Amino acid sequence: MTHALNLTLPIKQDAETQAALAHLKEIFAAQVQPAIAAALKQSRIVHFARVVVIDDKYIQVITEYEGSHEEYTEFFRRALTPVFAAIFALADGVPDVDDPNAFWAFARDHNLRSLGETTSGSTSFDGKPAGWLFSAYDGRTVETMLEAID
Amino acid sequence: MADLSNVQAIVARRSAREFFAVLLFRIGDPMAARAFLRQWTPSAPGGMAPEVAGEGALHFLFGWKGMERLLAGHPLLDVARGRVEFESFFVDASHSADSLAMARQLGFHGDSAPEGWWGGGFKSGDIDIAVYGCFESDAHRTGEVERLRASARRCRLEELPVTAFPGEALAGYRPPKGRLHFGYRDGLSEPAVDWADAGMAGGVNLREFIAGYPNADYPTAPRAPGPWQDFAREGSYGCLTWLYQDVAGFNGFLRDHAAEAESAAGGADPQEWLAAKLMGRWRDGSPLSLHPGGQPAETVADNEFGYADDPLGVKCPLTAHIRVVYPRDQPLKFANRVRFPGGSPRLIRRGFSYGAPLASAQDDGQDRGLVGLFFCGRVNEQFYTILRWMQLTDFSDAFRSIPDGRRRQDALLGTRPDPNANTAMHAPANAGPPFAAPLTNFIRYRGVAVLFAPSLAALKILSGA
Repeated sequence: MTHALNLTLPIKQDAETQAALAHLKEIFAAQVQPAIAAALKQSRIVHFARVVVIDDKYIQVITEYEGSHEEYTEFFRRALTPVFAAIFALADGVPDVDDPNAFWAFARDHNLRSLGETTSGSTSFDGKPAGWLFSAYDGRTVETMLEAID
Repeated sequence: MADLSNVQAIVARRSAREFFAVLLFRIGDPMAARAFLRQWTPSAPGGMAPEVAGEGALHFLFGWKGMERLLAGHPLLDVARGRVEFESFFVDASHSADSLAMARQLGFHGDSAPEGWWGGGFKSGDIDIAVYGCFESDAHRTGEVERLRASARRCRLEELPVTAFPGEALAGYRPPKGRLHFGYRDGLSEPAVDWADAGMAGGVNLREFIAGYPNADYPTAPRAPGPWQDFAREGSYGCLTWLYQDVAGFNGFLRDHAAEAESAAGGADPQEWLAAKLMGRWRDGSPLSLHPGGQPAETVADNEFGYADDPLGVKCPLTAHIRVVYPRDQPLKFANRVRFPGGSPRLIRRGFSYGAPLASAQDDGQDRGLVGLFFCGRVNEQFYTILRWMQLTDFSDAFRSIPDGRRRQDALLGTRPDPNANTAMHAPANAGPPFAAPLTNFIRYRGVAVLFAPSLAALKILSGA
């Protein structure tokens, strides 16, 4: 079952944080993006992923992935620890990304529910029906899609 | 190095006793509850200490709410901070085993839904204190339980009665010759824990089972050095699980499909062959991986085997219970290899059978099954993960090799029906097509609670000693 992650963090507005954000933007294509891509490519559980900055005030990590939030949050933390450390450092209340417990709580508390209601049975972190996530291929898994085109 | 003598003995070693009971309590008055603990916890055995003749061996576990109440006002252990530092899946009721967020993915639905747990009399989150007792005889258990209950009443502990049991407490026995209700011999496999933390060959890292020594591979909570990590050190999460076993249904499955299985079974008894393919061991305990052709004349307790030479599950099906809950050398998928750099998650299993053996072919309407305590250092990454794998076998790339492989279930313990899963049995044969048959629910969860078994030192803190 495909779940959506809409991790949304308000970015601190102090000069130091804004400079860190500018640096992240600058290095993203050359350094951050390949690191994320390498991990997600091997995982075969992530459909899509992107990082969005809104007016230098919010940063979003948005992905669609297989399995429950509880099952794979720890994979994302371990596979992408420096990436999440850099992104989380832009926000208040930054957790220790080496701490799975703190990372889980932070991800849970900063995930935004999409509008609408799921048609696939996927759930939010609280177990209630997730927001709407359109799938052109009716929620088929990454593995299924890859096998179909291999 | 861990102080093994500080670990409650129920974690460190098996009990040698034959009779068991678990009493569940809700705290009425924390001060009085601490007096109860001061009376009983000093004799709790630690490490490998043998049980003392004539005495009940008592082990103590706590729900988070219970610990919170006992520690309220402690000068060093701020419970608000503890709520953050202890593992969320222990502390946070919204992610407890019976929660909306967790129950479905762990297999707790249908006949196993939490609404019916514990006989309906209370919720898992009501359990503040659990006392797991090991006794020499039925009479010894009766007497010791009555002493405990009298003391609990004086200390205003409200017992949570499990009315399905004659004594209104989870109680049972070590099954004769180690044979559980389905006929399988139990107790043959136990993680060899590297308690000395010395890199013991073939040993399982101690952090897989106890808190207080977190590292990058085993980031147990509390992660940060400080009073809560000190408190948790050498404690272990104990996941109390009450399972009903549908023995008549299980025997009926074997009987009903024996004729179809005869050809695939070769010369083996087809019912025994089916039972072995569900479990991954012959019912005498001998592993299929070492004895694929038939049950050996004598039980082979050898646990030194893997699945590298059996990628398709011809010897031991990929969905066999022991291969799902502990895949040994079978490669996990990438995301799980990242999650578990030290290898597949493990659990220390303790527990007992309850209810009389079924003596007839038809169900006699009697309750029977097992009560398990599964110890681990991380609830979500170990206990919950293994439960998820039992419900959906998408944890290993090996399942690509069988039809619909990533949607299969643990053949023995999967919760059925499940619209997200292919619930048919799939047992490849040496020759001919794989054996296939629709699987039914052989077990039902009747209660699950995630508790914490503190160290002996932490028990003193909880008791206010």
